[in-house]
Amino acid sequence: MGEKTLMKGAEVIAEAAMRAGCMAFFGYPITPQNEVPEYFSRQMPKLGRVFLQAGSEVAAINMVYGAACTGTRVITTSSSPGISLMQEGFSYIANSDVPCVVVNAMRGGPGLGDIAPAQADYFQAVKGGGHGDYHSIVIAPYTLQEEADLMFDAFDLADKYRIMVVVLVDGLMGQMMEPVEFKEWVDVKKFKTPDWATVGQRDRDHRNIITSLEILAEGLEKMNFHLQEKYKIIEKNEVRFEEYKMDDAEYAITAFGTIARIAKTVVNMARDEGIKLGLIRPITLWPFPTKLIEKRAEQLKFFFDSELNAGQMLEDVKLAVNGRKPVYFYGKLGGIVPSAEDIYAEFKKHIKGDR
Amino acid sequence: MKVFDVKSLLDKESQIFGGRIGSGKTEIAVNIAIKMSEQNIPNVLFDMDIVKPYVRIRDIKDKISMYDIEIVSPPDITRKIDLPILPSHIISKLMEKDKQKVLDIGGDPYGAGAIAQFKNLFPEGNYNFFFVVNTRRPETSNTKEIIEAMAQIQDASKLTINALVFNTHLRWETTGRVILNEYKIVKDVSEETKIPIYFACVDEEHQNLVKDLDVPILPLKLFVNPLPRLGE
Repeated sequence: MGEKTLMKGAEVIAEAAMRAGCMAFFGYPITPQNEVPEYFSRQMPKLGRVFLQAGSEVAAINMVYGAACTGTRVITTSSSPGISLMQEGFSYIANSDVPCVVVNAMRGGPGLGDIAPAQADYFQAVKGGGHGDYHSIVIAPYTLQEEADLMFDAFDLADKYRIMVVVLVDGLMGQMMEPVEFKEWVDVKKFKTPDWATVGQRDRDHRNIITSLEILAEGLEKMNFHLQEKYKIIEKNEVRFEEYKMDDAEYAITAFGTIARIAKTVVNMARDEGIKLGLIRPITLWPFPTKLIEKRAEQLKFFFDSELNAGQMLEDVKLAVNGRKPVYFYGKLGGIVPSAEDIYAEFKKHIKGDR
Repeated sequence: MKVFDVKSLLDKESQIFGGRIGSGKTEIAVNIAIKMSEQNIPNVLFDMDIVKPYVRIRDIKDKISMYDIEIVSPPDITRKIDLPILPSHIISKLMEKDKQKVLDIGGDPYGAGAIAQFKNLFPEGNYNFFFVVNTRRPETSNTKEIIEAMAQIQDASKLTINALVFNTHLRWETTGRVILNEYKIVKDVSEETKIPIYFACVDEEHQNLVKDLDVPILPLKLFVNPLPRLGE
């Protein structure tokens, strides 16, 4: 395209996924991300690709699992309650070493909750969610341009590590509109079927079998060791973050997604008043930028974590800081998004005692 | 540059704004109501959006409260649940004759379909049905797509589109070149469909961008945007 288009976040997810070579969508509608399946439903047939509205989220994720076993670039998108329904499938996908991309446009919970933006599925996305010892790579964009670019990376990372990649956004990131320039279309004709894919034995001398089942404990332990080895490599190679005005910072906000976006404004408000505040924004929530935060703890007086939840990423920040500096928190619950002024006022409460 | 005068609409009782999702209907409907109120033209603003989950008229009520506009919208309690609800007193309000009615209907055929059930309350010739178009939105970027979208939305609404509104913009990245170049696309639509462009819209802080257009301009106050530009 090379030209800017005014996009809704949900449309960005679908358009960027198609350009990145996504060949199949399986899903079930849920607000606030219905524009994703709607966009796919109009465009995928034109490209000769698959759009299928499943009977439920449980069916959808198992269809994703099936498509992933063939080495096809596949996606599902949903929002919090729908993602909860998919957890069993995520766990199977994890122990089957197959690649796929899942987008969660988080809304207020727990339970049915509401349709307003939230970030309360951090634990679920980052710490597993389904059963067993597994991880998914979790990416959290904070602008629609970044969302457009990271969708390509999501599919590449999924293929590279044969892993599920979660793109974790909130409802607002799905609904807001910004000018976006997309990368060029990936030439899907150049995709090769991976040698592990279950697409028929053909002239191979063995059958490929993909399963998460291993009835011998020793065998299952081996499968787990393999996963843990893979996670170590990912933790070493794939940590991504952005730092903003951190060089001389005495204080740092830690935030991801929508709140990181608002936090950038907060940093500028503080700087205008001569307060040396910076922002640490994890882009990958797993693997988490632990080492960076560990390092920054030396220079900072305190950390101030802000999220649309009761303090979830907060735990990872605290683990990284490891008690060396205070970590304060400000969160909004139930789908309420704080303004930059709200966050700044909360931050300043802590700075008073500090100065 | 000629500023669009809302008085030119008064020969019709209802002003209906439809289009693709994200074309700018809500912002424009709100601004038309504000302009009417500023000129002491009694009006009612209808929130008939059953599609969009956030930033509908009901969500920006506080921001426009100073303009003395009567708003007919679903009850506040429905703001954060997922129900395609229309205001309970909508029929009696649509039947009132003494006020201008400004209607924001939801985007796409799904949204436009919500008004079809009230077809009998909109006699032909007594309403303007504006098709709002931003050529920088996906699926309305060329003449063919726009005419297709118009046909679908008209079909779903059971009403007749009789006016185009040119609303091409890229938020803070809007340029005069983009507006001028893409105005031609909507001009072509107008010529092909014989449906006139009533006015063009622009953020009131960037009116210089539209000075070369040959239609009246509606400068917009912006209310709908949920988050400021990054870092602002």
